[in-house]
Amino acid sequence: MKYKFVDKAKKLTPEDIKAQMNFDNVVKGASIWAGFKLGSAILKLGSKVTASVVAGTSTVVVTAAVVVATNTDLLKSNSPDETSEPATEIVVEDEKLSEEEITPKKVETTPLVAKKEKKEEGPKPKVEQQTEAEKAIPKPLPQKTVSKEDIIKEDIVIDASPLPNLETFLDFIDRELKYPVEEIAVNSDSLKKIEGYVEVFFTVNREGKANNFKVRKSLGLLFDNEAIRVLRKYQNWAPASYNGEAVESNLKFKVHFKVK
Amino acid sequence: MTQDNISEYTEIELIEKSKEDKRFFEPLYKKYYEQVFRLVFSRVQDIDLAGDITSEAFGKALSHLDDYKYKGYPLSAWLARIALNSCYDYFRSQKKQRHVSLENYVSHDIVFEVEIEDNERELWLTMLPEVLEKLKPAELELIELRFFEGKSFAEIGYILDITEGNAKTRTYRILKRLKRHFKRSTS
Repeated sequence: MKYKFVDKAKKLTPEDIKAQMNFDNVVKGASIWAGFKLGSAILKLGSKVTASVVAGTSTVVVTAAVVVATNTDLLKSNSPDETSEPATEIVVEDEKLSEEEITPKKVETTPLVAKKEKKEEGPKPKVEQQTEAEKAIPKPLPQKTVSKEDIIKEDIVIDASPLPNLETFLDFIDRELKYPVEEIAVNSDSLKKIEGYVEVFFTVNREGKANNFKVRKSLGLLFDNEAIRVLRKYQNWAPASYNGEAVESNLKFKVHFKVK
Repeated sequence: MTQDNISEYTEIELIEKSKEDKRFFEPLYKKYYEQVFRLVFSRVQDIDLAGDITSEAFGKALSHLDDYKYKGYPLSAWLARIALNSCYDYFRSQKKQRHVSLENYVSHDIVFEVEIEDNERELWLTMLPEVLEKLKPAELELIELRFFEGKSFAEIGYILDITEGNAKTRTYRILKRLKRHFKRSTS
């Protein structure tokens, strides 16, 4: 038995606790511990501290006398399971981590994707958007006397967007993007039929320059490189702004490859 | 220095002052004594013994105040860390076992985390010793600090000397194991 189980913890009264208080003793005792090294590794996870304790089985088990008999069997059946456990679960952890890494960026980038879908409506030029946002700040003032603090609480976040507008950017991609046919043709004819998209992730810095290109969803090295090559050429971005201040932001963009 | 003057200092100032003059530690001692005492008591279930260990912990803390640096964790976390280590020091040296109070495991949120249905509570209670036996002391501490003491993962990490993320991952891993043990034994 590693632990001594009790059904109910004893009740403590504040008086009980107070009775144990003795600051003078602590002060006196402090000198004893002066040479003692703190932060000992007694409670390290994975340590075998309890191994030595197991011997002391004489303590009375209040609740689980019956269960103890089956205990060893259960331990045996579980032990192989437990050894294999860390390996599988570490994978899960990693996945979680990478997910966490991606998700916030996803949020930031959705407007770009959304805008792309609304292409027919004609996206507004960036300049107009910014002025609107600036107007939004003083707007509430005449309606009622709002204190400065109230206004600041409303964060205005504008995502990075291509300049002068999204259409130009998409046209540019269409124009520049080349299906890497020559390279592929060397290998096999059937590969020419590859269609799909490369999801590229990149950063737009405060100066409106795109950098730090990374492929999130790959379509093969040739396609990845082509997609990044084209995106890198386009260096005309309006940086994202947070309360009117330019900030670095991350964008995600899908470059579609189609056989014409 | 009068008592009134002492109480005007902030906690960090008091710690700094205590490094010079141990008397300055008294307000902090009074403030945290009960908290530390309860932490120790829940593990030893003996008032006198808990008193001894708590005093020992404060003694160690007082003699090592120089080691304490404010890193975003309250003094209570540092004290808890020392107290817990003192507890396990005692368990090991005296070949004693840590007490586990089972009622906590049916009355706290952990019941929901392990997904125990209302009609399974009795069964869960009888199964508990067997299930908890499989946990290492530090794992048990993770669960108890999190669910019974209600500490943040950051603080637990600090107390157990692991990272916050690690504390979190391990806690949920343990819960998963508890759940699995329970389901397997009942099915």
